Amino acid sequence: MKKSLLLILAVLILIPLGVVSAQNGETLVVALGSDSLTFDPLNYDEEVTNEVNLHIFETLVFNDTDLNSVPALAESWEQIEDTVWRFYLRQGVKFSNGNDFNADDVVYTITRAKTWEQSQYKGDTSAIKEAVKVDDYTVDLVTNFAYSILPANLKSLMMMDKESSENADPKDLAENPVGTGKYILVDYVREDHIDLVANPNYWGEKPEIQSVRFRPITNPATRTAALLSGEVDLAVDISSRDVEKVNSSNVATILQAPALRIIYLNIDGWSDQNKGVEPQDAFKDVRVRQAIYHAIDEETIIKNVMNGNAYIATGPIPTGYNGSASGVERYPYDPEKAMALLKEAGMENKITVTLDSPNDRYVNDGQIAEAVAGYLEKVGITVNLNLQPKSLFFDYVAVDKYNTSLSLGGWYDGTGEGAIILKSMFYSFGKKAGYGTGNRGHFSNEKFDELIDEALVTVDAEARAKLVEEAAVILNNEVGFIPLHYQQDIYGVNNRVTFEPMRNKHIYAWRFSFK
Amino acid sequence: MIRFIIRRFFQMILVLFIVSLMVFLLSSFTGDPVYMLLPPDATLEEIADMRILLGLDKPLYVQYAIFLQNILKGDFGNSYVYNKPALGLILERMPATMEVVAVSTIITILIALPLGVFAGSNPKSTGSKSIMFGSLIGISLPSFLVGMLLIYLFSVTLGWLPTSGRSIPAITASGKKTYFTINELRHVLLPSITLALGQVAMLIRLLKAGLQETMQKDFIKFAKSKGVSRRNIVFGHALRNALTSTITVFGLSIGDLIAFTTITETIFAWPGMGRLLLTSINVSDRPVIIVYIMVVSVIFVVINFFVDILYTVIDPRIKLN
Repeated sequence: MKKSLLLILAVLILIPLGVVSAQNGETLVVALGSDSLTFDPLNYDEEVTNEVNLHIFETLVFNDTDLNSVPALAESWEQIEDTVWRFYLRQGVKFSNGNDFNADDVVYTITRAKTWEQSQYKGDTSAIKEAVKVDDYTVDLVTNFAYSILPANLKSLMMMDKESSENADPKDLAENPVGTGKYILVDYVREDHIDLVANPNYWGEKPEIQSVRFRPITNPATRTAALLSGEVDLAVDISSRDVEKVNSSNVATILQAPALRIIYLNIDGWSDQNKGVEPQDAFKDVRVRQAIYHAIDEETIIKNVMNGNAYIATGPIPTGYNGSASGVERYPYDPEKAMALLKEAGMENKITVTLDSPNDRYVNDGQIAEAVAGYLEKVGITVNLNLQPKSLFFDYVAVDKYNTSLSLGGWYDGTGEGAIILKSMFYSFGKKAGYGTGNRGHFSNEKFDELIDEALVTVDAEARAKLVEEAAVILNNEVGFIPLHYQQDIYGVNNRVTFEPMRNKHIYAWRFSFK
Repeated sequence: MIRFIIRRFFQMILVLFIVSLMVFLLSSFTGDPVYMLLPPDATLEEIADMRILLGLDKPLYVQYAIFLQNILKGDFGNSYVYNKPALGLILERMPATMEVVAVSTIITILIALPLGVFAGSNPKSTGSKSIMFGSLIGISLPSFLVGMLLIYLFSVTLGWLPTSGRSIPAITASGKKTYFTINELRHVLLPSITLALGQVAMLIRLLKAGLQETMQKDFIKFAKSKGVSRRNIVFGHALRNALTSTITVFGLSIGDLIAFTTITETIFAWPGMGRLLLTSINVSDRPVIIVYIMVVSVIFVVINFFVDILYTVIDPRIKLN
């Protein structure tokens, strides 16, 4: 018995020593923070799922590094009438099953996006009335109203093959993707790995990286360890406490970039049925909203709560987006001025408000809310902090429920268009279906709505930017919301590769190369 | 025997019913999955559509009735997230969990049995005392700490074992998966050791206590005075008696491992069912959570069943019923 025991122990110990550690070879390995949910590109509009699927599928219009619209499956597009966008398709493109890509596939995909019950692209395609085939390589998208930014809305709408998808079981579509993209799926084990190889029949420039593996590693410390051990070539969302450790290793280097996600406060000074603040109309006075803005020391929040890993925000539109150059500035941190404004408004030491915030959704969200509550207390506003897990929070603060008058939220938009952000976040709620769906503060301003309406029908990008910027100034003057900061994307990159990040944090294998 | 099995079966049905009711009620308080599934700029119509699609627009008792009705038809419901049968998702993940639990159980028995027997039969020796001290450490270290320490030691510093994941087969056009390769064994070692550590400590303590107590019994004293060899006393008489109590606890703790390896699986990015439970709780994927707990209940009932049968093997005086 003793002998056999020793033998087994010896084997157990020797196995790891005897085997040379697995070589990645020329396979690029990327550690993601979560798993892709499906290979059916219309089922989810979720960032990790999209970035993986965009290797396999392609869109009509795509993003360059700064999220400007560039041609992909459509070679060009133009607005031929107020309500008609014409797309000229690329010829000679084949799906991975050998079928030709043509106008029928576009019509099928858009129809499915609008009508399939599980489609999450109903919002992005809501402006489209119908897709009409003009000839094999020309499609007209007829909109319900003049809509200038339609191309920006199509940048994650991936084209599917009509012939093989039309009558397929959705469960098959979720596992067997057929696309025109640079890569083909070869192996998938849920929450373990996604293996892709380069598509030999790709129509465009072929990528340097021939095979890719995506590995969802949810625990941040494990991601760092996998990076440091050389197992992965790139790890996303490195935790800020590991930045130093990675940089001082000779295996990998940290790459930091401003993220698109803004963290902000919604403040309800417009609806009459708002709950959570005493007196109920306290926030109706713009001076009170200004006071709250003045009371918050965002720089200190970034320094102490975010460990310096965030960028101060002045408005809801990320830098570089069309319409981001409004030039508005923050209301400076000035608690005395805040108290003076409250006094002027007759609200000195009179306001009691509940600050609603999730505590598991954004980086340090609960602590940010605590810090904000502290600053408000300092100027004489009594704050009840209501921290909830995201699964309860988003239901509680839903815009049609009027439960909250002050809430912390985050917003991400990858379209590159300021008009789309303002339309979703601040257009008067309830006026038009699909507008103001994230407007938890129920900000409402006639002039603002008009500017957005106009921007959404203005084709010229510069003219549109001017309108959006004008709207952003109104939003800031009225204190329609209080911006806090933009988060930071932190990547760990193995020294054996070079990598160019995208503004929208998507990781694309064709943006890597081996040194 | 057959009567015993039939009775156990009906007990299981009852347990499953109660469990499903409780989990259904509890998970309905954990939040609204609709907001987890939709993008933040989803329109109110999309939200309403999604509710209807998932059947969440109906009152809770109607939802539960539909759930029960479907179960009778053999349909345990679809995952909200993956649109696939919840039971299938869990079963698909079970082999990975079973693998890590099996390896960790082997490690546990290989280490704990000799050490526990030694500590129990020589309770006053220095060796025994250091074993007991070591087991105290093993029982108090949380698995996330042990896991990370092991990763930093064996993967980052020494580079012997992979940090995470289940296996790295070469990417092939056929995409075939091979099981139980050396490569896979290398991946399973660290999570198994992490899981085993607490188990080893517990089993040593149980064995030691059981043996120490048995060694005081009259029949051992009688055997001693009869001149039976020490080895024969420990292995032939005392261990058998000490095992009956040990096995119940150890069996259930294996059940615990199968059911709730969530933390270890998350640390090691192991694609097992524990990790599935955690991701499902995160997005309020209620069907998966409910079926998961039901599957776990079945596992416990089955383990208990086998423990009972093992009793009769170890101690023939014990009869089922």
